Amino acid sequence: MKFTKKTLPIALLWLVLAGTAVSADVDVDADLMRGVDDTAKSLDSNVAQKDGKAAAADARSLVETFAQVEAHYGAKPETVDAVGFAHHTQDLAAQALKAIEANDFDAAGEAVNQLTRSCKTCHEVYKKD
Amino acid sequence: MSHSSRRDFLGNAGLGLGAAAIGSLGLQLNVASAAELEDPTAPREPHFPAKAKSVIWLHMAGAPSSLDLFDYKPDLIKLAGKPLPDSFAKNLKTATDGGVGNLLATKRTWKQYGETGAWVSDFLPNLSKQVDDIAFLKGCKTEGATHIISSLKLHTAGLVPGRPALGSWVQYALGSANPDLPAFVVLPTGVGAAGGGRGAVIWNSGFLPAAYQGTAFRKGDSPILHLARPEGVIDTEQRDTLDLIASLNEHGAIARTGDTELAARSRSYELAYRMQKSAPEAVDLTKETAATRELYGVGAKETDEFGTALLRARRLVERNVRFIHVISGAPDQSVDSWDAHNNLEKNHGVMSKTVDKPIAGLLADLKSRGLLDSTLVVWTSEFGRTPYGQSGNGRDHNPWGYTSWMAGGGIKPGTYGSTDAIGLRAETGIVDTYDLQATILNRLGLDNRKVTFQYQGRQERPTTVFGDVVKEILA
Repeated sequence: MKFTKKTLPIALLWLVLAGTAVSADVDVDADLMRGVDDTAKSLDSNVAQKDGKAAAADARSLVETFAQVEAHYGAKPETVDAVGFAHHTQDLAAQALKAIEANDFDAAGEAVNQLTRSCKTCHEVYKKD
Repeated sequence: MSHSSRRDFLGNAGLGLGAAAIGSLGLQLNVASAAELEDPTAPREPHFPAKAKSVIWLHMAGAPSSLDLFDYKPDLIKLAGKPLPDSFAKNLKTATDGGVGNLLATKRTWKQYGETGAWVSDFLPNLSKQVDDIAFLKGCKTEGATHIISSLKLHTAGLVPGRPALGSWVQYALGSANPDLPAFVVLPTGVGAAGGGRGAVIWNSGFLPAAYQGTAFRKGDSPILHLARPEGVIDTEQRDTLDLIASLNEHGAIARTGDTELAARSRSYELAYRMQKSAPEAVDLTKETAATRELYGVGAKETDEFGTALLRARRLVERNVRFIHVISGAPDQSVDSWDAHNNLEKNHGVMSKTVDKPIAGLLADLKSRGLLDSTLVVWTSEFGRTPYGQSGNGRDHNPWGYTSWMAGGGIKPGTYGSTDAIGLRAETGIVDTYDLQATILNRLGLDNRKVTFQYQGRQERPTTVFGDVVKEILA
């Protein structure tokens, strides 16, 4: 296929958009989950130590990751439950973030508790034994 | 099998304590203060009133088959000889060299016992009489399919070495209730170490100060290596030597105020001196009546070693030792451990006979002495065994569903949770190892989320970020 002066910009734009779409879908694999596990532990620790800045960074990271996980499963009709789990966990990370920003570390700790439980609940269904 | 010697104990106590105790004040204990942490044996208050004072942790190393002991599955008998149905095998990732054999029925005779109606096979005729004191957790699950990984998770909440054992966390959180004995004692039994997951790695203190590690008691009259006074040295000579060392250390301490290592080392000399009397006395079964020894099976070939360990455990409970970790091992070379990849009938016949009478005796004895209410007895293993067969007459490792049980110290008897129709996976009342640990800590008056230790910048907890108390079995 040859690109002309007219078609080349359109083709480039398509490539950029396609690249964006690809990068929005993450691989929900063991590596990603290990990262989530580590971030959740870091969040838990930072909340316990009342380190608001570090805790907020962890919570934000989890909100973003679970948004990506939700999008990933949303594209697959056979994993509709996982969308709900990911959405719920994302909500809990957001709750934790809100509490951290309000310097309410007790509420943040409770949200993190709920978040790790949510992780386990999802694993009961989706983590392959 | 490595046993802690007095030398190890002293070295660890002396070197481990001060440095780590003060340097890692992530502690959220109610009354912890720097002064108390200088002495790791100092008793500390729980977070809330405790239901249990001591734990006897019965680790069935090698992993017994729940399907041949507690988890009666008529459907498995009906389906015996057939391949594992797809409906049960969905998403199952088996990591076995032997492959997935056809379903294997139990050959045991089963009955329901007691008012709770708990199912127990005829492998355990004595324990079946104690079921009304037991809460069976039939929906247990874990991770990993190798003994060492799952055993680490069971004991340390980690999948790799380096985290403290639960007994170490208990000692760290509560201190010692008897300054003359270690607060965390390990009683290994059996020959060999087949299967792995039963060495010091499961009772060490990980990143906690070394003083909190489990102290393995040896068989025989002198439970701690090098504890006895050397021949030719009499008590007064030893006392004079220790007094001289103490006075020199006191003199040295004047110029080293705040040197917790020196203070800890001085304390450890005195502890060892006291233990020279207290430890042999604690394990001296000649003070027990013949009837009590018989109750535990002491003196009988099959049960002597495990029964001796459990009778010692009861004596340690009476002396306020917090956490006693008993490890079940093979009584002779006829079997390796509970790890019945083949010839399960023979294996479990031998292993069950080894533990059945002593454990039943322990529960009955604790109860008759009024100690069961304050002693939490826990039976567990690194995982269970599969409903599908291996080698024709054995079973493979099963981390997806198995039975543990708890009795005594604030536990409500009954049956909680279940596996699926063939006993492959936990289906209801799922209890992960983190939950088991959280429940034990709860009965000791500890909130698993409030026991913390700062390590490498993180607040570490006994159950990591997981662990929910199994409220349904709390009395």
